[in-house]
Amino acid sequence: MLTDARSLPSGTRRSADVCVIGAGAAGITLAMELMGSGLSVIVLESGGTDVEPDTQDLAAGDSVGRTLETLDNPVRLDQTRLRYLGGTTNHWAGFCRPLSPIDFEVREGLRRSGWPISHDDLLPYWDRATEWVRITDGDFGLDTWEQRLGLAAPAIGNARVEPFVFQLTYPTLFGLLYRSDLEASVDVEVMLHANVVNLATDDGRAVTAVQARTLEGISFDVTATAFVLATGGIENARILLSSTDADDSGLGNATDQVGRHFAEHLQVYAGFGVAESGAEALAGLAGDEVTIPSGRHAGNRHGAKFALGLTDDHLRDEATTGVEMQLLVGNLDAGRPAEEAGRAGTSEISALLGHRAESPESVVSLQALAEQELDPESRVGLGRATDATGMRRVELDWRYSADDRARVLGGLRTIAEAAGEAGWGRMQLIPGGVHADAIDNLVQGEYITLYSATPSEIDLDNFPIGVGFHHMCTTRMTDDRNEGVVDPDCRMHDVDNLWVAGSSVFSTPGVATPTYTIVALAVRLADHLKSVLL
Amino acid sequence: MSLTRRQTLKLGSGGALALIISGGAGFIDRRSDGEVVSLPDDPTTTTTSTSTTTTTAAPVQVPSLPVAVDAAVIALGRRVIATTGEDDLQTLLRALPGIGDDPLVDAAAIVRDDFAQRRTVSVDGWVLAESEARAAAVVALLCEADEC
Repeated sequence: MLTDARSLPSGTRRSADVCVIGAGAAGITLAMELMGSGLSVIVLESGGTDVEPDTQDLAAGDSVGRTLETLDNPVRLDQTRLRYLGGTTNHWAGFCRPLSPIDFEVREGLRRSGWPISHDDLLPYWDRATEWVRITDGDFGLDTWEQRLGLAAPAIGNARVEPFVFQLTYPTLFGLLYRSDLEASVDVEVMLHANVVNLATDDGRAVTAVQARTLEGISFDVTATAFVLATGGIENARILLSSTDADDSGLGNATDQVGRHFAEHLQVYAGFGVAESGAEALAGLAGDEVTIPSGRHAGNRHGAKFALGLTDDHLRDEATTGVEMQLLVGNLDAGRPAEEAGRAGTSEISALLGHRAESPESVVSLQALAEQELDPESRVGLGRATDATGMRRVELDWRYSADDRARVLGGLRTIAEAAGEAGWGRMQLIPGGVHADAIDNLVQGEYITLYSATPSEIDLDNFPIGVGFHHMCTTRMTDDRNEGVVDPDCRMHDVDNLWVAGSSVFSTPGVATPTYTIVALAVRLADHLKSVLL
Repeated sequence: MSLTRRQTLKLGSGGALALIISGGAGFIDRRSDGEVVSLPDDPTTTTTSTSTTTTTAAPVQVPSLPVAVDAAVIALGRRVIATTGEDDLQTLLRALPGIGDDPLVDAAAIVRDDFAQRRTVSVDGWVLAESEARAAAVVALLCEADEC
C-alpha cells in the first residue's frame, strides 16, 4: 500500500519486520522481492510521487572538492539524485551491464581494490535483476547480441580492447513501473513524505528505531527487526554520520570509514572518430531494439548497443583502471567538430583515409566513462548548514588524482590505437575540447543539446572531467572493518540489525554503470534477509 | 640521400605514400564512379588520371606525378611537421619502411602494425600511425619543394 506520513499523528510509532529507508532502485527491488514472503515491510520515502522542490532541496549541499560538472556545465548536488518514488531511476539513462571479473579482484597498484565476494557470486543475482530493470536476460555475450540484433559489433579488438554490449532499458522508472504493485500489496507499505533524520540507538550496536519527520513537522518513528539503508551513495553515508546517539562520529563509524572512498565515474566527452569504410562501419553502433520473450515484462521492447572497453587482461597487466567508450552516431547534426584553421580536422583525416569528400556518415563522437582509483580522502561529510528537517547538509569532498587523469588518457589512446589496428578508422582525442552548449533539465532528465569542439583548448593535464551521477563506495563492502563499512552480506560491521543497499556498498567502482548491479545486490540482500528473518 | 624524380615516383607507387594509398587511397583520385585509379609502376608509361571527383577540397594537380594530391593530406602533413618538429625530408624518408623495397609492399599492414605495436603519434589529438604521419609529412615537404 502507499500511505502518506503527512497524515500520521505526530509521535506515532509504527513497526514492521523490515524497515527499508529509500524507495529507489534498491529499495523498491527489496520491497518487491520481499513482497509475499511473510515479512511485513515499511518503506520510508522522502518524497511523493513526483518532484517536489521543497523535498528536493533536502538533497542540496556543498561540493568542496573536485568540481561537479558535465560538459563544462556545473552540476549541483541536488541535481544528481532525486527524492521521490523511484528515486534516481527517475532520470536514469537505462544503461545495463554487469561488472567484469577483474572488478572483484585485488589489483596490484590500485588502492583498496577488490570485493570480498566474487563475480560468480553475483551472476545469479544479475540474472534475476534483469526482471526488475526490464531487459531480456543476463546473457551479455557478444555473439548472442550480434545474433539478436542482426548487427555486427565494431570490428575492433585485440588483447587490450574489446567490444561489449549494453542492454538499454527505456528507461525503467521504478516508481512508475512498480507503483501499482506496491499500492496493491498488503504486506509492503510505502510511506511517502517520510524523511529519515536519525537512526536511534542505545549503544551503537543495534538500531532501536528510525526517526522520521515530514516537512510539515510531523515526527514519528518506525521499529523493525531489520533496517535497510537504501538512499544512495551520498545519503546512506549522510544518515549514518548524522546518527550520533551513541557516538559523535556517527553510527557504525568507529573505524572512521563511513563516507570515505567516495567514487564517481569520470565522464569524458573524448573527441571524434572517422571510420575508414564510412557508414558500413557504423551500422552496429546505434544498436537496435529487441522484444523480451518471457517473464514479468514479456513483450516489452528494449534496446541494445555495442561499445568498446579495455580487456580484463589489459587492466591486470597494466595495473590500470577501466575505460569504456561509446561511439555515438548521429549526435553531430547540431555540433560538428569545429574545423579550426591550421589544425587537422575530420576533413584531413577523411582525406588520409581515402574519403575524397568528408563523409558526415563516417564521423562519430566519442563518449567515455572511466573508473577512478579509490581515495580514502575522497569523502562524504557533513556541513554546518542544516536543511528543513534540521539535518546537517551534506558536504562532498570528491577527489581524483593526476594519475586517474593519466589512466583515462592512456585508456582512450589504447582504444584509439586498437581502432587503427583493426582498420576501423582514426580517433581524435580532445578531452575537454568538447562542450555542450545547454543542459536543459537534470532533474527530469538530462538533455545534452549541442556539441562543439575546439582542439586548441586541449589541456591534457587539466581537462574537465564530468560526472555520471554514480555515487559509489561510501559504505564499502569488506571483510576488514578497518577498510569498509559493511560485510559481504551488506550488514554493517558494527551494527547488528542494519544493512545497506545501493552503490555505496560497492567495494571497487568498476566502469560499468551501477544501477544493474545495485538491483542485483538488492535481490541478493532480499534473499539474505529472508534467510535471517524467516 | 637526395630525392630523385624516380624516387619520388617510387614513393608514390610502392613506398611511403603507398602506406596511405593502401590504407585508404588518400592521395589518388577516384573516378566519378568511385573506381580507384591505380598508380602505375613505371612512370614513363603513365597517363594522367584527373577524373572528376566529389571532393570539397580542390585537389592540387601536380604535373610531375600522375596523381592528384589532396590538399587536405598536404595540410595534415604540415600539422605533423609542426607537431613533431621533424622537417628533414631525408630523416623522414629513412624512418619510413618500404622505401626502396618491393613496391608491392603492403602499406596497410605496416600501418596496422604500427598501431598494434603502439608506434603512434598524436597530431591535434588524432592518434596516427607513425608511418602514415611521416608519409603525410613527406608529401607536404615534397609539395613545398614543388616536387609533387
